[in-house]
Amino acid sequence: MFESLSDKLESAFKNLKGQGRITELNIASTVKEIRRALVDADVNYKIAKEFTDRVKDKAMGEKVINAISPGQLMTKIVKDELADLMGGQESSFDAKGNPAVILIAGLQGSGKTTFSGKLANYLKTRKGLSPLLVAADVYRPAAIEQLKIIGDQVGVDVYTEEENKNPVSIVQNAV
Amino acid sequence: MMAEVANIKNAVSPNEILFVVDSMTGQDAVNTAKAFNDRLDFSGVVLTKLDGDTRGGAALSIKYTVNKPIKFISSGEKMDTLDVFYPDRMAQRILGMGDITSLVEKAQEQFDEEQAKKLEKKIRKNKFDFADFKAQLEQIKKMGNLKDLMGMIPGVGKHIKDIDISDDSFKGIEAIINSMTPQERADPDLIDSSRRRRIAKGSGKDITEVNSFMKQFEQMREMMKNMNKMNMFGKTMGMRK
Ligand SMILES: Nc1nc2c(ncn2[C@@H]2O[C@H](COP(=O)(O)OP(=O)(O)O)[C@@H](O)[C@H]2O)c(=O)[nH]1
Ligand SMILES: [Mg+2]
Repeated sequence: MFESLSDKLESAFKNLKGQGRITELNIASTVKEIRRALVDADVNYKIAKEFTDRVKDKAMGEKVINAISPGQLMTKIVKDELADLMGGQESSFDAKGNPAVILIAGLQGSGKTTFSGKLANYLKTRKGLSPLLVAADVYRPAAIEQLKIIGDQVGVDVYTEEENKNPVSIVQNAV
Repeated sequence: MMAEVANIKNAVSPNEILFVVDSMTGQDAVNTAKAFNDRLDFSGVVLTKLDGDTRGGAALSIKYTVNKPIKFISSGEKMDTLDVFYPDRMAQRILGMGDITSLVEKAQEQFDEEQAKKLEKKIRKNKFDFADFKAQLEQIKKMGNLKDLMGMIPGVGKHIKDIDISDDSFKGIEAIINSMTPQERADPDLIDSSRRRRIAKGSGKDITEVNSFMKQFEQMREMMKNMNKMNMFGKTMGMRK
């Protein structure tokens, strides 16, 4: 996963090898390489720039601790900032209610049907819930068939109204 | 189409509205997320196809752009390839620090929790040995999705990215470990060159294969050591705040 980004970040930290401490001067090329690595990973420039500005500020603000090499320090700072950028804390998932309703949306081909099966499987096997899959994609009859197959695979019922072309009423009836 | 989803939203007030997006589409994924969020005000994002050759842009910029959390990641067509998204673990993986937490958790799901704890403790104390390695191989083989799982072991991910891994790839390693004495397994430093020759003979492997495996194992332990240092460092920094 993200191998090219990993490799580029690793080589950015290599610049700091052999340096005793971080200085404005020796950090410059590392910061630039980190920014380029992010842009190459398809992060937009503004986000990448803000990211490396923060990394640089943090790195310059750190006290020098002998046991920690500049490379290790940068790795730690970048790790924290990456985690922050991706959301910081783990988020919650609300499946309370009788029934709890989870609406799944997205472009065609993004993986909604597949994910729905996986989520139903997850809720059933890991959370001990009894999910019901509801087919509300009325434009593609094949999509209903696909959902049935996936429901079958994970042992979860699939609710369909194949004559009904109104997704709102299908969902209301199911609930 | 989006209007229809909005109507469903109004009709049934969902607990969660999840926006599913293909991570392979990079910046487009981010733009689509923005359009959907403006219209639907969804509660979370699901990133799919992370098993593909995705560069990371979507994972890294979606939260920033729509200020909604990534809740799940999907990485495969099989039904058990869904994971709750943990930003910190993902960051660790990106930096090649491995993902020992996820590995331990996956192991716990299917195996004895007690054993997983022992393993984590051994890693923390830098006592990871060949017996542990072998036990891990046994477990990993049963878990499926071999390459992904291997990638979670600190220091291993990089080495295997271009290798096609099947269960057979482990046979050689297992043969080597099987030819060690219990003492050697428990104390890898014991294994000098004459012992290596004996192990090579016993396992029917070339001495160079044994050497290169020993070296890889050493690198892995080195990575684990560094990771431990990093974690301790994290705690010290936390206290200073
Ligand atoms: N490799 C991979 N393929 C996926 C993943 N999720 C979905 N797919 C595939 O992507 C295609 C579209 O998925 P589908 O669930 O039908 O998308 P939908 O149109 O949004 O319902 C199918 O061929 C799926 O098998 C994933 O996480 N990894
Ligand atoms: Mg579908």
